[in-house]
Amino acid sequence: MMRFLDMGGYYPWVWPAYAVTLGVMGLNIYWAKRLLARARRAAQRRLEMQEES
Amino acid sequence: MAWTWFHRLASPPHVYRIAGRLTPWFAWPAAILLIAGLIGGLWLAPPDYQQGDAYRIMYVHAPSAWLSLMVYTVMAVAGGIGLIWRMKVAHAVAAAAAPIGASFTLATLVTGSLWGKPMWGTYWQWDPRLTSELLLFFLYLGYMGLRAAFEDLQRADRVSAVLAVVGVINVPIIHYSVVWWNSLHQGPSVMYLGKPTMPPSMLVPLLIMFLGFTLFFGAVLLMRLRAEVLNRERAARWVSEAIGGVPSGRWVGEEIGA
Amino acid sequence: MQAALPSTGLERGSAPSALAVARLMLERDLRLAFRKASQLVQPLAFFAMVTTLFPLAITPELSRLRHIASGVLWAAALLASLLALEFLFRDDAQDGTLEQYALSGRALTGLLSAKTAAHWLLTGLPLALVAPIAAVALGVPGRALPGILASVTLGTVTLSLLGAIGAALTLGVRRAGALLSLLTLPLAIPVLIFGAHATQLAIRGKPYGAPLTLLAALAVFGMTLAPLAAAAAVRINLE
Repeated sequence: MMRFLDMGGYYPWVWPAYAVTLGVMGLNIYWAKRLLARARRAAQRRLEMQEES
Repeated sequence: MAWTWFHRLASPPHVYRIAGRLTPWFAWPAAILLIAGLIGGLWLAPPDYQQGDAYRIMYVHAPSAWLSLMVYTVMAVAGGIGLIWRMKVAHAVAAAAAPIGASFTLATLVTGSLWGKPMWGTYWQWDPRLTSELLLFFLYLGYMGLRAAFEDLQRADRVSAVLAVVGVINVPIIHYSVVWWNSLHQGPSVMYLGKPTMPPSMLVPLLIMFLGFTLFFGAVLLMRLRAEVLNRERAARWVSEAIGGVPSGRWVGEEIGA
Repeated sequence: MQAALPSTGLERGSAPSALAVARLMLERDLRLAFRKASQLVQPLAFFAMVTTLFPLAITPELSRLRHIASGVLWAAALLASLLALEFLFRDDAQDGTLEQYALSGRALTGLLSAKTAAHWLLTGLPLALVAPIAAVALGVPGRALPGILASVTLGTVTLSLLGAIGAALTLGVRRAGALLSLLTLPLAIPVLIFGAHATQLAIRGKPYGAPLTLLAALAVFGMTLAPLAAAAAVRINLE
Protein backbone atom coordinates (compact mmCIF):
# COMPACT_ATOMS: atom_id res chain seq x y z
CA MET A 1 0.00 0.00 0.00
CA MET A 2 2.79 2.42 0.87
CA ARG A 3 4.50 1.50 -2.37
CA PHE A 4 1.31 2.36 -4.21
CA LEU A 5 0.99 5.73 -2.52
CA ASP A 6 4.64 6.46 -3.16
CA MET A 7 4.21 6.08 -6.94
CA GLY A 8 7.86 5.20 -7.37
CA GLY A 9 8.82 8.50 -5.77
CA TYR A 10 6.64 10.52 -8.14
CA TYR A 11 3.82 10.99 -5.62
CA PRO A 12 4.20 14.81 -5.37
CA TRP A 13 3.13 15.11 -9.00
CA VAL A 14 0.95 12.10 -9.71
CA TRP A 15 -1.52 12.61 -6.87
CA PRO A 16 -2.03 16.35 -7.35
CA ALA A 17 -2.63 15.73 -11.06
CA TYR A 18 -5.35 13.21 -10.24
CA ALA A 19 -6.74 15.47 -7.53
CA VAL A 20 -6.96 18.43 -9.91
CA THR A 21 -8.71 16.41 -12.61
CA LEU A 22 -11.17 14.82 -10.22
CA GLY A 23 -11.70 18.23 -8.64
CA VAL A 24 -12.54 19.73 -12.02
CA MET A 25 -14.97 16.90 -12.65
CA GLY A 26 -16.58 17.37 -9.26
CA LEU A 27 -16.92 21.09 -9.79
CA ASN A 28 -18.46 20.47 -13.20
CA ILE A 29 -21.11 18.27 -11.64
CA TYR A 30 -21.71 20.74 -8.84
CA TRP A 31 -21.99 23.74 -11.17
CA ALA A 32 -24.30 21.92 -13.55
CA LYS A 33 -26.57 20.86 -10.69
CA ARG A 34 -26.64 24.35 -9.26
CA LEU A 35 -27.35 25.88 -12.65
CA LEU A 36 -30.25 23.51 -13.22
CA ALA A 37 -31.68 24.13 -9.75
CA ARG A 38 -31.47 27.88 -10.29
CA ALA A 39 -33.08 27.66 -13.70
CA ARG A 40 -35.94 25.68 -12.19
CA ARG A 41 -36.43 28.16 -9.38
CA ALA A 42 -36.37 31.08 -11.81
CA ALA A 43 -38.90 29.37 -14.07
CA GLN A 44 -41.12 28.67 -11.08
CA ARG A 45 -41.01 32.31 -10.02
CA ARG A 46 -41.86 33.43 -13.52
CA LEU A 47 -44.85 31.12 -13.59
CA GLU A 48 -46.11 32.31 -10.22
CA MET A 49 -45.78 35.95 -11.21
CA GLN A 50 -47.70 35.25 -14.35
CA GLU A 51 -50.46 33.58 -12.40
CA GLU A 52 -50.84 36.56 -10.10
CA SER A 53 -51.05 39.08 -12.86
CA MET B 1 -41.76 16.79 -44.75
CA ALA B 2 -38.55 15.22 -43.63
CA TRP B 3 -37.80 18.30 -41.56
CA THR B 4 -40.72 17.98 -39.18
CA TRP B 5 -39.09 15.29 -37.08
CA PHE B 6 -35.98 17.43 -36.94
CA HIS B 7 -37.87 20.41 -35.61
CA ARG B 8 -39.84 18.29 -33.20
CA LEU B 9 -36.57 16.90 -31.96
CA ALA B 10 -35.22 20.40 -31.50
CA SER B 11 -38.27 21.79 -29.74
CA PRO B 12 -37.45 22.94 -26.20
CA PRO B 13 -39.91 20.71 -24.32
CA HIS B 14 -38.70 17.69 -26.19
CA VAL B 15 -35.06 18.56 -25.61
CA TYR B 16 -35.69 19.18 -21.93
CA ARG B 17 -37.45 15.86 -21.50
CA ILE B 18 -35.05 13.79 -23.57
CA ALA B 19 -31.98 15.40 -21.99
CA GLY B 20 -33.34 14.58 -18.55
CA ARG B 21 -34.03 11.02 -19.54
CA LEU B 22 -30.65 10.55 -21.21
CA THR B 23 -28.51 12.01 -18.42
CA PRO B 24 -28.29 8.80 -16.31
CA TRP B 25 -27.46 6.81 -19.42
CA PHE B 26 -24.33 8.92 -19.75
CA ALA B 27 -23.61 9.47 -16.07
CA TRP B 28 -23.60 5.87 -14.84
CA PRO B 29 -21.46 4.36 -17.60
CA ALA B 30 -19.13 7.34 -17.18
CA ALA B 31 -18.83 6.67 -13.45
CA ILE B 32 -18.17 2.98 -13.99
CA LEU B 33 -15.63 3.59 -16.75
CA LEU B 34 -13.83 6.29 -14.78
CA ILE B 35 -13.49 4.03 -11.75
CA ALA B 36 -12.32 1.16 -13.97
CA GLY B 37 -9.86 3.47 -15.71
CA LEU B 38 -8.52 4.76 -12.41
CA ILE B 39 -7.96 1.24 -11.10
CA GLY B 40 -6.42 0.16 -14.38
CA GLY B 41 -4.24 3.21 -14.78
CA LEU B 42 -3.07 3.62 -11.20
CA TRP B 43 -2.89 0.02 -10.08
CA LEU B 44 -2.95 -2.58 -12.83
CA ALA B 45 -0.84 -0.93 -15.51
CA PRO B 46 2.90 -1.58 -15.07
CA PRO B 47 5.33 1.30 -14.51
CA ASP B 48 6.90 2.71 -17.64
CA TYR B 49 10.48 1.60 -18.26
CA GLN B 50 11.62 5.20 -18.80
CA GLN B 51 9.27 7.40 -16.82
CA GLY B 52 8.49 5.05 -13.94
CA ASP B 53 5.16 5.85 -12.35
CA ALA B 54 5.12 9.49 -13.44
CA TYR B 55 3.59 8.52 -16.78
CA ARG B 56 0.37 7.63 -14.94
CA ILE B 57 -0.49 11.33 -15.14
CA MET B 58 -1.20 10.55 -18.78
CA TYR B 59 -4.42 8.79 -17.76
CA VAL B 60 -5.94 12.09 -16.68
CA HIS B 61 -3.91 14.47 -18.84
CA ALA B 62 -4.54 12.97 -22.27
CA PRO B 63 -8.33 12.54 -21.89
CA SER B 64 -8.60 16.12 -20.57
CA ALA B 65 -6.68 17.36 -23.59
CA TRP B 66 -8.99 15.36 -25.84
CA LEU B 67 -12.04 16.91 -24.19
CA SER B 68 -10.60 20.41 -24.45
CA LEU B 69 -10.41 20.06 -28.23
CA MET B 70 -13.55 18.03 -28.74
CA VAL B 71 -15.69 20.41 -26.70
CA TYR B 72 -14.45 23.37 -28.71
CA THR B 73 -15.40 21.54 -31.89
CA VAL B 74 -18.81 20.66 -30.47
CA MET B 75 -19.27 24.31 -29.55
CA ALA B 76 -18.34 25.55 -33.01
CA VAL B 77 -20.46 22.96 -34.84
CA ALA B 78 -23.43 23.69 -32.59
CA GLY B 79 -22.92 27.42 -33.12
CA GLY B 80 -22.71 26.92 -36.88
CA ILE B 81 -25.93 24.89 -36.89
CA GLY B 82 -27.57 27.56 -34.79
CA LEU B 83 -26.47 30.27 -37.21
CA ILE B 84 -27.47 28.48 -40.39
CA TRP B 85 -30.76 26.92 -39.34
CA ARG B 86 -31.57 29.45 -36.62
CA MET B 87 -31.95 26.66 -34.13
CA LYS B 88 -32.21 27.92 -30.57
CA VAL B 89 -31.37 24.56 -29.07
CA ALA B 90 -28.05 24.40 -30.93
CA HIS B 91 -27.06 27.72 -29.39
CA ALA B 92 -28.06 26.37 -25.99
CA VAL B 93 -25.73 23.41 -26.58
CA ALA B 94 -22.87 25.77 -27.40
CA ALA B 95 -23.56 27.89 -24.34
CA ALA B 96 -23.68 24.80 -22.15
CA ALA B 97 -20.47 23.34 -23.57
CA ALA B 98 -18.14 26.34 -23.19
CA PRO B 99 -17.53 26.30 -19.40
CA ILE B 100 -17.02 22.53 -19.43
CA GLY B 101 -14.42 22.82 -22.17
CA ALA B 102 -12.64 25.69 -20.47
CA SER B 103 -12.44 23.78 -17.19
CA PHE B 104 -10.91 20.74 -18.86
CA THR B 105 -8.46 22.92 -20.76
CA LEU B 106 -7.33 24.30 -17.42
CA ALA B 107 -7.07 20.75 -16.04
CA THR B 108 -4.92 19.80 -19.06
CA LEU B 109 -2.58 22.72 -18.40
CA VAL B 110 -2.23 21.94 -14.71
CA THR B 111 -1.72 18.19 -15.15
CA GLY B 112 0.65 18.85 -18.05
CA SER B 113 2.86 21.08 -15.96
CA LEU B 114 2.71 18.61 -13.05
CA TRP B 115 3.92 15.98 -15.48
CA GLY B 116 6.53 18.34 -16.81
CA LYS B 117 8.22 18.87 -13.46
CA PRO B 118 9.58 15.32 -13.03
CA MET B 119 10.13 14.83 -16.78
CA TRP B 120 11.60 18.16 -17.88
CA GLY B 121 12.70 19.42 -14.49
CA THR B 122 10.44 22.45 -14.81
CA TYR B 123 6.74 23.09 -14.38
CA TRP B 124 6.46 24.97 -17.60
CA GLN B 125 8.19 24.35 -20.85
CA TRP B 126 7.24 26.16 -24.04
CA ASP B 127 6.39 22.84 -25.54
CA PRO B 128 4.10 23.08 -28.59
CA ARG B 129 1.35 21.03 -27.03
CA LEU B 130 1.23 22.99 -23.80
CA THR B 131 1.53 26.29 -25.65
CA SER B 132 -1.33 25.61 -28.02
CA GLU B 133 -3.38 24.34 -25.10
CA LEU B 134 -2.76 27.67 -23.37
CA LEU B 135 -3.90 29.52 -26.48
CA LEU B 136 -6.97 27.31 -26.62
CA PHE B 137 -7.70 28.36 -23.06
CA PHE B 138 -7.52 32.01 -24.15
CA LEU B 139 -9.92 31.23 -26.99
CA TYR B 140 -12.37 29.77 -24.49
CA LEU B 141 -12.01 32.83 -22.27
CA GLY B 142 -12.64 35.11 -25.24
CA TYR B 143 -15.71 33.12 -26.23
CA MET B 144 -17.20 33.22 -22.76
CA GLY B 145 -16.27 36.87 -22.36
CA LEU B 146 -17.99 37.79 -25.60
CA ARG B 147 -21.08 35.80 -24.64
CA ALA B 148 -21.23 37.53 -21.28
CA ALA B 149 -20.86 40.99 -22.84
CA PHE B 150 -24.32 40.97 -24.39
CA GLU B 151 -27.54 41.50 -22.51
CA ASP B 152 -29.66 40.15 -25.33
CA LEU B 153 -29.38 36.38 -25.26
CA GLN B 154 -30.18 35.87 -28.92
CA ARG B 155 -27.52 38.30 -30.01
CA ALA B 156 -25.02 36.75 -27.58
CA ASP B 157 -25.81 33.35 -29.09
CA ARG B 158 -25.29 34.38 -32.67
CA VAL B 159 -22.27 36.66 -32.21
CA SER B 160 -20.44 34.08 -30.12
CA ALA B 161 -21.31 31.43 -32.70
CA VAL B 162 -19.48 33.47 -35.35
CA LEU B 163 -16.48 33.66 -33.04
CA ALA B 164 -16.57 29.91 -32.37
CA VAL B 165 -16.59 29.16 -36.10
CA VAL B 166 -13.73 31.60 -36.74
CA GLY B 167 -11.88 30.06 -33.80
CA VAL B 168 -12.29 26.49 -34.93
CA ILE B 169 -10.89 27.35 -38.36
CA ASN B 170 -7.95 28.97 -36.61
CA VAL B 171 -7.21 26.22 -34.09
CA PRO B 172 -5.27 24.03 -36.55
CA ILE B 173 -3.43 27.07 -37.96
CA ILE B 174 -2.46 28.16 -34.47
CA HIS B 175 -1.43 24.64 -33.56
CA TYR B 176 0.78 24.08 -36.61
CA SER B 177 2.36 27.51 -36.36
CA VAL B 178 3.23 26.76 -32.74
CA VAL B 179 4.69 23.38 -33.72
CA TRP B 180 6.70 25.09 -36.45
CA TRP B 181 7.86 27.79 -34.04
CA ASN B 182 8.89 25.19 -31.50
CA SER B 183 10.85 23.09 -33.98
CA LEU B 184 12.95 26.17 -34.77
CA HIS B 185 13.78 27.17 -31.26
CA GLN B 186 14.38 23.91 -29.46
CA GLY B 187 15.74 20.49 -30.01
CA PRO B 188 13.17 17.71 -30.09
CA SER B 189 11.25 17.87 -26.85
CA VAL B 190 10.53 14.84 -24.74
CA MET B 191 8.07 12.70 -26.65
CA TYR B 192 5.89 11.49 -23.90
CA LEU B 193 3.20 9.91 -26.00
CA GLY B 194 5.37 9.06 -28.94
CA LYS B 195 6.02 5.44 -28.15
CA PRO B 196 4.89 3.36 -31.09
CA THR B 197 3.84 0.36 -29.07
CA MET B 198 2.12 0.67 -25.76
CA PRO B 199 1.42 -2.70 -24.17
CA PRO B 200 -2.29 -3.46 -23.81
CA SER B 201 -2.07 -3.26 -20.03
CA MET B 202 -1.19 0.44 -20.44
CA LEU B 203 -3.33 1.17 -23.48
CA VAL B 204 -6.62 -0.33 -22.33
CA PRO B 205 -6.96 1.88 -19.23
CA LEU B 206 -6.20 4.89 -21.41
CA LEU B 207 -8.93 3.99 -23.89
CA ILE B 208 -11.34 3.37 -21.01
CA MET B 209 -10.49 6.82 -19.66
CA PHE B 210 -11.05 8.46 -23.03
CA LEU B 211 -14.50 6.91 -23.25
CA GLY B 212 -15.26 7.69 -19.61
CA PHE B 213 -14.29 11.36 -19.99
CA THR B 214 -16.35 11.68 -23.16
CA LEU B 215 -19.44 10.20 -21.51
CA PHE B 216 -18.86 12.41 -18.49
CA PHE B 217 -18.88 15.43 -20.77
CA GLY B 218 -22.12 14.16 -22.30
CA ALA B 219 -23.77 13.87 -18.89
CA VAL B 220 -22.71 17.33 -17.70
CA LEU B 221 -23.61 18.85 -21.06
CA LEU B 222 -27.12 17.41 -20.85
CA MET B 223 -27.62 18.81 -17.38
CA ARG B 224 -26.42 22.26 -18.39
CA LEU B 225 -28.46 22.05 -21.57
CA ARG B 226 -31.65 21.54 -19.56
CA ALA B 227 -30.84 24.61 -17.50
CA GLU B 228 -30.12 26.65 -20.63
CA VAL B 229 -33.35 25.54 -22.29
CA LEU B 230 -35.34 26.48 -19.19
CA ASN B 231 -33.69 29.88 -18.98
CA ARG B 232 -34.39 30.63 -22.60
CA GLU B 233 -38.04 29.72 -22.42
CA ARG B 234 -40.31 32.49 -21.29
CA ALA B 235 -43.83 31.66 -20.15
CA ALA B 236 -44.32 28.43 -21.98
CA ARG B 237 -46.84 26.00 -20.65
CA TRP B 238 -44.53 23.05 -20.95
CA VAL B 239 -42.26 24.64 -18.38
CA SER B 240 -44.90 24.36 -15.70
CA GLU B 241 -45.41 20.74 -16.60
CA ALA B 242 -41.71 20.08 -16.77
CA ILE B 243 -40.85 21.47 -13.37
CA GLY B 244 -44.10 20.28 -11.83
CA GLY B 245 -44.75 23.55 -10.06
CA VAL B 246 -47.94 25.29 -11.02
CA PRO B 247 -50.59 22.81 -12.11
CA SER B 248 -50.91 22.96 -15.85
CA GLY B 249 -54.00 24.10 -17.63
CA ARG B 250 -54.91 26.86 -15.21
CA TRP B 251 -53.65 29.45 -17.59
CA VAL B 252 -52.87 29.39 -21.20
CA GLY B 253 -49.33 30.25 -22.09
CA GLU B 254 -47.87 30.29 -25.52
CA GLU B 255 -46.53 26.96 -26.47
CA ILE B 256 -43.32 27.26 -28.35
CA GLY B 257 -42.15 24.75 -30.82
CA ALA B 258 -44.88 22.20 -30.20
CA MET C 1 -30.20 45.85 -57.97
CA GLN C 2 -33.60 47.18 -57.08
CA ALA C 3 -32.50 49.64 -54.42
CA ALA C 4 -30.94 52.71 -55.94
CA LEU C 5 -27.86 53.80 -54.09
CA PRO C 6 -28.04 57.21 -52.43
CA SER C 7 -25.83 59.80 -54.13
CA THR C 8 -22.81 57.76 -55.01
CA GLY C 9 -21.45 60.52 -57.16
CA LEU C 10 -21.62 58.28 -60.18
CA GLU C 11 -23.71 58.93 -63.28
CA ARG C 12 -27.40 58.31 -62.89
CA GLY C 13 -29.31 55.33 -64.20
CA SER C 14 -26.51 52.82 -64.27
CA ALA C 15 -25.88 50.84 -61.10
CA PRO C 16 -22.23 51.23 -60.09
CA SER C 17 -20.14 48.11 -60.08
CA ALA C 18 -19.09 46.55 -56.81
CA LEU C 19 -15.54 47.64 -57.44
CA ALA C 20 -16.57 51.26 -57.94
CA VAL C 21 -18.53 51.20 -54.71
CA ALA C 22 -15.58 49.73 -52.88
CA ARG C 23 -13.34 52.46 -54.28
CA LEU C 24 -15.76 55.15 -53.17
CA MET C 25 -15.87 53.65 -49.72
CA LEU C 26 -12.10 53.54 -49.55
CA GLU C 27 -11.82 57.18 -50.62
CA ARG C 28 -14.44 58.26 -48.12
CA ASP C 29 -12.76 56.48 -45.23
CA LEU C 30 -9.36 57.88 -46.11
CA ARG C 31 -10.73 61.39 -46.43
CA LEU C 32 -12.53 61.14 -43.08
CA ALA C 33 -9.43 59.78 -41.40
CA PHE C 34 -7.19 62.57 -42.64
CA ARG C 35 -9.58 65.08 -41.09
CA LYS C 36 -8.88 63.51 -37.72
CA ALA C 37 -5.14 63.21 -37.94
CA SER C 38 -4.68 62.52 -34.24
CA GLN C 39 -6.31 59.11 -34.66
CA LEU C 40 -3.74 58.33 -37.32
CA VAL C 41 -0.77 59.37 -35.27
CA GLN C 42 -1.78 57.74 -32.01
CA PRO C 43 -1.03 54.11 -32.93
CA LEU C 44 2.33 55.16 -34.36
CA ALA C 45 3.23 57.09 -31.25
CA PHE C 46 2.15 54.11 -29.18
CA PHE C 47 4.33 51.82 -31.27
CA ALA C 48 7.34 54.11 -30.83
CA MET C 49 6.66 54.37 -27.11
CA VAL C 50 6.43 50.60 -26.56
CA THR C 51 9.62 50.10 -28.55
CA THR C 52 11.34 52.63 -26.32
CA LEU C 53 10.32 50.73 -23.19
CA PHE C 54 12.51 47.74 -23.99
CA PRO C 55 15.93 49.42 -24.10
CA LEU C 56 14.99 51.24 -20.91
CA ALA C 57 13.76 48.08 -19.20
CA ILE C 58 16.40 45.64 -20.41
CA THR C 59 19.62 47.19 -21.64
CA PRO C 60 20.85 50.05 -23.80
CA GLU C 61 23.51 47.80 -25.38
CA LEU C 62 22.74 47.58 -29.09
CA SER C 63 24.49 44.21 -29.40
CA ARG C 64 22.01 42.69 -26.95
CA LEU C 65 18.99 44.62 -28.19
CA ARG C 66 19.61 43.27 -31.66
CA HIS C 67 18.80 39.77 -30.41
CA ILE C 68 15.40 40.71 -29.07
CA ALA C 69 14.59 43.30 -31.74
CA SER C 70 12.27 41.04 -33.75
CA GLY C 71 10.21 40.19 -30.70
CA VAL C 72 10.05 43.80 -29.56
CA LEU C 73 8.97 45.05 -32.98
CA TRP C 74 6.26 42.46 -33.39
CA ALA C 75 4.85 42.70 -29.91
CA ALA C 76 4.72 46.48 -30.29
CA ALA C 77 3.15 46.25 -33.75
CA LEU C 78 0.53 43.81 -32.48
CA LEU C 79 -0.41 46.08 -29.60
CA ALA C 80 -0.44 49.20 -31.75
CA SER C 81 -2.72 47.63 -34.33
CA LEU C 82 -5.06 46.50 -31.55
CA LEU C 83 -5.25 50.04 -30.27
CA ALA C 84 -6.62 51.32 -33.56
CA LEU C 85 -9.24 48.61 -33.93
CA GLU C 86 -11.90 50.09 -31.73
CA PHE C 87 -12.40 52.94 -34.18
CA LEU C 88 -12.73 50.65 -37.18
CA PHE C 89 -16.52 50.41 -37.26
CA ARG C 90 -17.47 52.45 -34.22
CA ASP C 91 -18.25 55.83 -35.80
CA ASP C 92 -20.12 54.32 -38.70
CA ALA C 93 -22.15 52.16 -36.34
CA GLN C 94 -23.03 55.08 -34.08
CA ASP C 95 -24.28 57.44 -36.76
CA GLY C 96 -26.18 54.70 -38.59
CA THR C 97 -23.97 54.64 -41.68
CA LEU C 98 -23.23 50.99 -41.18
CA GLU C 99 -26.92 50.19 -41.09
CA GLN C 100 -27.38 52.00 -44.38
CA TYR C 101 -24.61 49.90 -45.88
CA ALA C 102 -26.28 46.75 -44.66
CA LEU C 103 -29.60 47.85 -46.15
CA SER C 104 -28.11 49.13 -49.39
CA GLY C 105 -28.57 45.81 -51.15
CA ARG C 106 -24.87 45.73 -51.87
CA ALA C 107 -22.77 42.84 -50.63
CA LEU C 108 -21.73 43.79 -47.12
CA THR C 109 -18.59 41.70 -47.49
CA GLY C 110 -17.32 43.97 -50.25
CA LEU C 111 -18.03 47.13 -48.30
CA LEU C 112 -16.36 45.76 -45.18
CA SER C 113 -13.38 44.64 -47.25
CA ALA C 114 -13.01 48.21 -48.48
CA LYS C 115 -13.25 49.55 -44.95
CA THR C 116 -10.66 47.03 -43.77
CA ALA C 117 -8.38 48.00 -46.64
CA ALA C 118 -8.71 51.65 -45.62
CA HIS C 119 -7.93 50.71 -42.06
CA TRP C 120 -4.80 48.88 -43.17
CA LEU C 121 -3.69 51.83 -45.28
CA LEU C 122 -4.18 54.10 -42.30
CA THR C 123 -2.60 51.98 -39.56
CA GLY C 124 -0.88 48.88 -40.96
CA LEU C 125 1.09 50.55 -43.71
CA PRO C 126 2.34 53.43 -41.54
CA LEU C 127 3.41 50.88 -38.93
CA ALA C 128 5.29 48.94 -41.59
CA LEU C 129 7.03 52.15 -42.67
CA VAL C 130 7.96 53.09 -39.12
CA ALA C 131 9.11 49.59 -38.11
CA PRO C 132 12.46 49.77 -39.99
CA ILE C 133 13.25 53.06 -38.25
CA ALA C 134 12.50 51.50 -34.87
CA ALA C 135 14.61 48.52 -35.93
CA VAL C 136 17.61 50.75 -36.60
CA ALA C 137 17.18 52.24 -33.15
CA LEU C 138 17.37 48.70 -31.76
CA GLY C 139 20.72 48.08 -33.42
CA VAL C 140 19.49 46.14 -36.42
CA PRO C 141 21.88 46.32 -39.40
CA GLY C 142 20.69 48.12 -42.52
CA ARG C 143 20.66 45.04 -44.74
CA ALA C 144 17.79 43.60 -42.63
CA LEU C 145 15.46 46.52 -43.27
CA PRO C 146 13.85 45.32 -46.53
CA GLY C 147 12.96 42.05 -44.82
CA ILE C 148 11.46 43.86 -41.87
CA LEU C 149 9.48 46.17 -44.13
CA ALA C 150 8.14 43.22 -46.14
CA SER C 151 7.21 41.08 -43.15
CA VAL C 152 5.49 43.87 -41.21
CA THR C 153 3.63 44.94 -44.37
CA LEU C 154 2.30 41.43 -44.97
CA GLY C 155 1.67 40.73 -41.31
CA THR C 156 -0.36 43.86 -40.69
CA VAL C 157 -2.69 42.91 -43.56
CA THR C 158 -3.73 39.81 -41.63
CA LEU C 159 -3.86 41.76 -38.38
CA SER C 160 -6.27 44.27 -39.94
CA LEU C 161 -8.45 41.45 -41.26
CA LEU C 162 -8.55 39.64 -37.92
CA GLY C 163 -9.17 42.96 -36.26
CA ALA C 164 -12.13 43.58 -38.54
CA ILE C 165 -13.67 40.33 -37.27
CA GLY C 166 -13.00 41.31 -33.67
CA ALA C 167 -14.35 44.83 -34.13
CA ALA C 168 -17.46 43.49 -35.88
CA LEU C 169 -18.09 40.97 -33.11
CA THR C 170 -17.84 43.56 -30.35
CA LEU C 171 -19.80 46.22 -32.22
CA GLY C 172 -22.69 46.01 -29.78
CA VAL C 173 -20.50 45.98 -26.69
CA ARG C 174 -19.77 49.10 -24.72
CA ARG C 175 -16.15 49.48 -23.56
CA ALA C 176 -15.02 46.64 -25.76
CA GLY C 177 -11.28 47.34 -25.46
CA ALA C 178 -10.10 44.50 -23.22
CA LEU C 179 -12.54 42.03 -24.71
CA LEU C 180 -11.41 42.95 -28.20
CA SER C 181 -7.79 42.16 -27.29
CA LEU C 182 -8.79 38.89 -25.66
CA LEU C 183 -10.63 37.85 -28.84
CA THR C 184 -8.07 39.01 -31.37
CA LEU C 185 -4.70 38.19 -29.83
CA PRO C 186 -4.97 34.37 -29.80
CA LEU C 187 -6.03 34.47 -33.44
CA ALA C 188 -3.04 36.67 -34.25
CA ILE C 189 -0.48 34.23 -32.84
CA PRO C 190 0.42 32.67 -36.23
CA VAL C 191 1.13 36.16 -37.62
CA LEU C 192 3.33 36.90 -34.64
CA ILE C 193 5.25 33.63 -35.00
CA PHE C 194 5.89 33.85 -38.74
CA GLY C 195 6.46 37.60 -38.71
CA ALA C 196 8.91 37.57 -35.83
CA HIS C 197 10.74 34.65 -37.38
CA ALA C 198 11.06 36.34 -40.77
CA THR C 199 12.35 39.45 -39.01
CA GLN C 200 14.82 37.43 -36.99
CA LEU C 201 16.17 35.71 -40.09
CA ALA C 202 16.47 39.05 -41.86
CA ILE C 203 18.44 40.47 -38.91
CA ARG C 204 20.80 37.50 -39.01
CA GLY C 205 21.25 37.95 -42.74
CA LYS C 206 19.70 34.60 -43.61
CA PRO C 207 17.08 33.95 -46.31
CA TYR C 208 13.65 34.71 -44.91
CA GLY C 209 11.51 33.62 -47.87
CA ALA C 210 9.82 30.69 -46.11
CA PRO C 211 8.16 32.56 -43.22
CA LEU C 212 7.38 35.44 -45.57
CA THR C 213 5.52 33.06 -47.86
CA LEU C 214 3.58 31.73 -44.90
CA LEU C 215 2.70 35.29 -43.89
CA ALA C 216 1.45 35.92 -47.42
CA ALA C 217 -0.58 32.71 -47.28
CA LEU C 218 -2.18 33.84 -44.04
CA ALA C 219 -3.00 37.20 -45.60
CA VAL C 220 -4.65 35.60 -48.64
CA PHE C 221 -6.55 33.17 -46.44
CA GLY C 222 -7.70 36.05 -44.27
CA MET C 223 -8.78 38.11 -47.29
CA THR C 224 -11.05 35.34 -48.49
CA LEU C 225 -12.69 34.43 -45.19
CA ALA C 226 -12.43 37.34 -42.77
CA PRO C 227 -14.86 39.68 -44.60
CA LEU C 228 -17.48 36.91 -44.56
CA ALA C 229 -17.19 36.49 -40.81
CA ALA C 230 -17.10 40.26 -40.25
CA ALA C 231 -20.19 40.76 -42.41
CA ALA C 232 -22.07 38.03 -40.54
CA ALA C 233 -21.13 39.62 -37.20
CA VAL C 234 -22.10 43.13 -38.35
CA ARG C 235 -25.50 41.92 -39.54
CA ILE C 236 -26.18 40.18 -36.24
CA ASN C 237 -25.15 43.23 -34.27
CA LEU C 238 -27.33 45.54 -36.34
CA GLU C 239 -30.47 43.44 -35.99
